[in-house]
Amino acid sequence: MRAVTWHGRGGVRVETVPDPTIQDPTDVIVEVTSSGICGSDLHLIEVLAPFMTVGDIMGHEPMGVVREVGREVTAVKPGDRVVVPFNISCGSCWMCEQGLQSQCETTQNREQGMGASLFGYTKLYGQVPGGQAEYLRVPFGNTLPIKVPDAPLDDRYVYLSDVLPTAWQAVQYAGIPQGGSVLVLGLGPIGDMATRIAKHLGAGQVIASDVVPERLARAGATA
Amino acid sequence: MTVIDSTDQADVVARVRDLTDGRGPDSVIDAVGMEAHGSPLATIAQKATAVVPDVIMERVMTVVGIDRLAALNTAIEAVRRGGTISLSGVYGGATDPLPLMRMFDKQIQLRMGQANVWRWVPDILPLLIDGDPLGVDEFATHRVPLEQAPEAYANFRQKKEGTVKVLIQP
Repeated sequence: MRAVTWHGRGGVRVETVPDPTIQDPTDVIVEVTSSGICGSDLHLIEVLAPFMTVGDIMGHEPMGVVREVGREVTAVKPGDRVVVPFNISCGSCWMCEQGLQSQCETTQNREQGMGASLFGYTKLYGQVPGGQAEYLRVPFGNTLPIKVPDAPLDDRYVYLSDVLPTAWQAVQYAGIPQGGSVLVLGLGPIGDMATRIAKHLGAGQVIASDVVPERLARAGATA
Repeated sequence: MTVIDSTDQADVVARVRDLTDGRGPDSVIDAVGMEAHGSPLATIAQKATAVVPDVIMERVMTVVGIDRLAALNTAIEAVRRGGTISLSGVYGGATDPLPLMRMFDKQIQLRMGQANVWRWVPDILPLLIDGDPLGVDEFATHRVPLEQAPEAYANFRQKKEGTVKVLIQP
């Protein structure tokens, strides 16, 4: 298959790599139909480059269609449309049961002293092949993929992988009183989405800042 | 919504106070993290990862504080006393210096961490099925085939061509 791969600080390439295969009985293989590029993917080319390996497959914001399932997978079947969360969580450990999937005790990277594994995100987080590729192996097929309706377009659901829950958690953790005020620093995808969610959840006053004129204009236009 | 050009950090804090009865906002979300502009020394340290051998930089990165903290410092100054700061922007410095006296005196609450995706799916998914109240259908600025990913990465990195969100569609 074709995949976006890491090649040092110069940037990424698109290369032909081996197709992923079922390795564990709860794995599923997803044919990727949409896959976001995240601001944190840029960190891999710059500040986190020492933790990457040439050829690593990038990407942690994918969705697509289930093409193959392991013999113990019952929650999804070939043809199902799924979004794949960026954090790899088992869904059944103590941390997952607390709603702390980023600290999943099944996939924690203890030798690195880090939390749950992430798709396509350095050896600190498991060096798991990512989702900017034609196909993706997804573990924990009964609990990790998010089944979504067959319509409408991918744009409606793909952000469930990262942008929406990240911005939603940012707003929840901000503890904005009902009708209260919030300042959002940065109008990249997460900041932009956080302003929308803050308004949706009842913030009375939303202020946002950035240094890029196009981003200020875009956010101002959705007010 | 009010948008502010934050090229001048001090100006942001002053303008936000003017908009919030002189107190500062109840909450600040830092959605910038270690990409923040404005700290030349930290920028140099981050760039050093490009020329120093990986085996050394890996060690440096895990023991030294090198984040550009401009956004977090703005958050600490801007938030009202007793308010809350929420970090979604990623930080990666192991020993970044924080103004703890200021944070303690202002009685700031600070929450952070990678999103717990499944924690929020039951809240978010129903919104998407009923309609599009958050404007996700038009959220992407660029949709590109897989083969054009390197160019899309470059544009995103340089914030060129109005690139905010790219979807690769294999």
